[in-house]
Amino acid sequence: MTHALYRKWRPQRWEEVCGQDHIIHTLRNAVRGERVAHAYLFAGPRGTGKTTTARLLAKAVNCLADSPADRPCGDCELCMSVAEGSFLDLIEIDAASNTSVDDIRELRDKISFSPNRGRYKVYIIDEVHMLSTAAFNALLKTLEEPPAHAIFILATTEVHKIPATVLSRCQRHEFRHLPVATILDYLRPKIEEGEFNIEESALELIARQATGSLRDAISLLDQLSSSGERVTLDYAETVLGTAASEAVRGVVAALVAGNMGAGLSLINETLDGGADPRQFARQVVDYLRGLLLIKMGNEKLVETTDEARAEMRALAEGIPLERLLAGINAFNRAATERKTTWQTSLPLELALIVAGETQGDNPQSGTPPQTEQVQKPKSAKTKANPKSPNPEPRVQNSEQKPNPAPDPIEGKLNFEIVVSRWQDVLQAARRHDPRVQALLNSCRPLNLEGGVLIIGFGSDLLRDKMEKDHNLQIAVSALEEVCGEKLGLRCILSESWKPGDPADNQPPPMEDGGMVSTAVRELGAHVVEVEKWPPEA
Amino acid sequence: MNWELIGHEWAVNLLCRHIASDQVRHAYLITGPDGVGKRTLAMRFAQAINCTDSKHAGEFCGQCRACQFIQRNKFPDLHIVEAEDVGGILKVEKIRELQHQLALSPYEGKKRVALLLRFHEANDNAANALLKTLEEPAPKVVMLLTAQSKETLLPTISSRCEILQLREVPRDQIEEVLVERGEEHEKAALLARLAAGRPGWAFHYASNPELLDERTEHLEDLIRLIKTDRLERFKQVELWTREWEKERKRGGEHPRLRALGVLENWVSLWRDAMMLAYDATAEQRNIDRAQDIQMLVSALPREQISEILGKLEQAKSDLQKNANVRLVMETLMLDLPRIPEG
Repeated sequence: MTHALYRKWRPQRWEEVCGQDHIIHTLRNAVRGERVAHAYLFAGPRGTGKTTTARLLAKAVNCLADSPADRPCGDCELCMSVAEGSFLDLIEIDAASNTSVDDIRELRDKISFSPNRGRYKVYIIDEVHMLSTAAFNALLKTLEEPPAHAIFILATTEVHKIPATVLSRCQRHEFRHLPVATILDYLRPKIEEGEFNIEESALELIARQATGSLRDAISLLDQLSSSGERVTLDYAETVLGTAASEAVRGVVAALVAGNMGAGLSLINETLDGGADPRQFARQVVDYLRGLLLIKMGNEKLVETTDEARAEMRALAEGIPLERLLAGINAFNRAATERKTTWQTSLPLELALIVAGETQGDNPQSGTPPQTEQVQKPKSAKTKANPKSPNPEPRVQNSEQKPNPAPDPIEGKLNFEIVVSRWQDVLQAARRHDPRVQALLNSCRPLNLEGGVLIIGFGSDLLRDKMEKDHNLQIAVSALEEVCGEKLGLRCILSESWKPGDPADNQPPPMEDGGMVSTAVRELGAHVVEVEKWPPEA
Repeated sequence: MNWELIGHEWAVNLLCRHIASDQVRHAYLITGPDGVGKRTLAMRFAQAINCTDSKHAGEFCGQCRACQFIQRNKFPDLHIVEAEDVGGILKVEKIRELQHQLALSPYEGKKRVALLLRFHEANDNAANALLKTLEEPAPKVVMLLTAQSKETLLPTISSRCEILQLREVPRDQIEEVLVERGEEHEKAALLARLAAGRPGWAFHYASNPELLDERTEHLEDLIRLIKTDRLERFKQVELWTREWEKERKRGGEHPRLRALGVLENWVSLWRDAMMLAYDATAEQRNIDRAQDIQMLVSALPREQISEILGKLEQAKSDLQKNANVRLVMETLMLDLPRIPEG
């Protein structure tokens, strides 16, 4: 079996590592100055060169070349055996398969033996984020002060899973995504060497598709070129499932024009033509992002031809910002959603419609007037909205008169009057402190006994809160403002609202179209108990 | 070429060339919706790799010991790893076990083939445990992974494999095969459309006619429920959940899967309605239900149709996240619009 290209092309010298100059530079200097640290942590996305660099470093510290600047030479005995994978002092541990503390203990027991042939024993712990907490902790002491002949190199894609105690003991190097241009620069000479026969545009597609990971790029090249024939853009698109750029532009144009029918048809045609739905969604997002950049005045950032850019400019002018953003969001969700449905085109179709139904401030957006059925739930929502200008109390109390300002009270103050003015009390409390109003909202007056108003709370938590701080005082002064008389307040715990209160005797009028009336009308519900609903402030 | 696969010619070509030019990679990831042919492709590939009697490189005879044994899943060098049941979780122990087996050289075949089915069901530990093996397995090992899409896997997994994204098979191709297998033209036409590009699904329905009856029942329920009030709808949900629960106790499917089945049939119908409402040229799938679809489109504004589709998708994803079946269905019933009778 031939090795996959990404294994065959694994760099064997510092110069061959692509796009991570900031790390290679540091490490080379460390080797040259013979000041290699005892613990490194390599972090970064997949396929950016972590394992490769770790192996190179292992090679360099053990290389037999005379001048440290030449290491690794790649020719000496030890370099060869590292490349073959037969070097005994390079211990590569798969931390994802050996996660337990026992594996680390074993490592710790063996580390004190001096190296077999090389100068250093190098431990590469790959996928280190999968070690258990106990294993990490067992490693700490060894990692801080290993024997002089040991070097640790930890590699991971998920650095956030590494404990801080481990991070602080390592020299940390962040590997970066590779830009498209760098990937192309890496691949082009390899192609010119002759083995491959590939169109430039197909190569570019590969580089874009790799999203910053060189391993992905090489795998794709490997896959496409395995046929031995010339790789054309068409063939690459078939295998990768990318849609032709006209289709992407067409869908976006339909979105801009508000022509959903055409957009849906185009999506279906494209997918029937063999495009991959997620891939297609990603392409649409990419294109919409281009429009967004243009709209925001960053035209230079869009990498495309002048012709295409002019077209994008026209589209960007025609689409309101809200709709553009909605489109990016919706298609992005369709592209990245983890859950899958067998109706693979459906997420795309819904994304198009969600974006298309988003109104913008452009007058030309041609969405039809909404019909009654759509408006119905909306109007119900408005009613429930506390901020609506004219809030209707859900259950109106027959005795209660909506009084905006507290009127002076005639005659002797009794419990009924306090209850009828309760809303005003709440309002008054709100003026002092909204939190007190919130607390009063969740209680109800129960009785008036000798100048002390008893209020009941549903839970002791709320009652205790009421009794804390100045809450009680504020409530008392609010009461005084409304009733014109100083009343005491006593908070008690009442299990539930006591029915039979005079205020609840009459059946309350119900809001038409609300949940209660629906329950009565459609589900055959009966009104058993009515609670007073404090009107929203 | 004798792989007898429906569609995916490009993938078959690619794999055959790999075998012919002795460039078989160590890891492949085959993705695509359920029933599109991922597993079949992987099995054929395993046969083609190990066949001892193939006339042309990249083909397999189907007669030799290796071919026969792989077909019957008894080949000593074929390891199938999957979650206990569909929708379950693939645990790390199975991966560890596989790693031990893959460290040995093949017993009688040319290559040791590991087939990891539905790998999106692997939990994080299991997926991570496979990483190193997947990058550099022992020589003579080929690992074939199948999954719904590469987004459902760790990026570190998909980046180590050659990815073959299988797409929906064209409708007429499925229809043709169905007719060849002796289905009536009318039924074949319907099944091929409903399958939405998944031959496996079409064959499953073709060989289990009661499934098609069940679909009819589901769609009729929908049309009936949309004309009734909520009390009636809640009664139906109660009826369903009670019935499904009873059937499960007798060893039937989990109620969640049953509910998903209902929803999928509904989604299919509403999608047709949406396409019609927006005047899109996309092919209608439920061709036997044209009247119902027409009724929905004329009674409801098109925004509402797409809204309902969104709600249905939401309900499906809630069910997949293990939400209470009855609650999900009842919520859906509240959201379903009511069309007055007549």
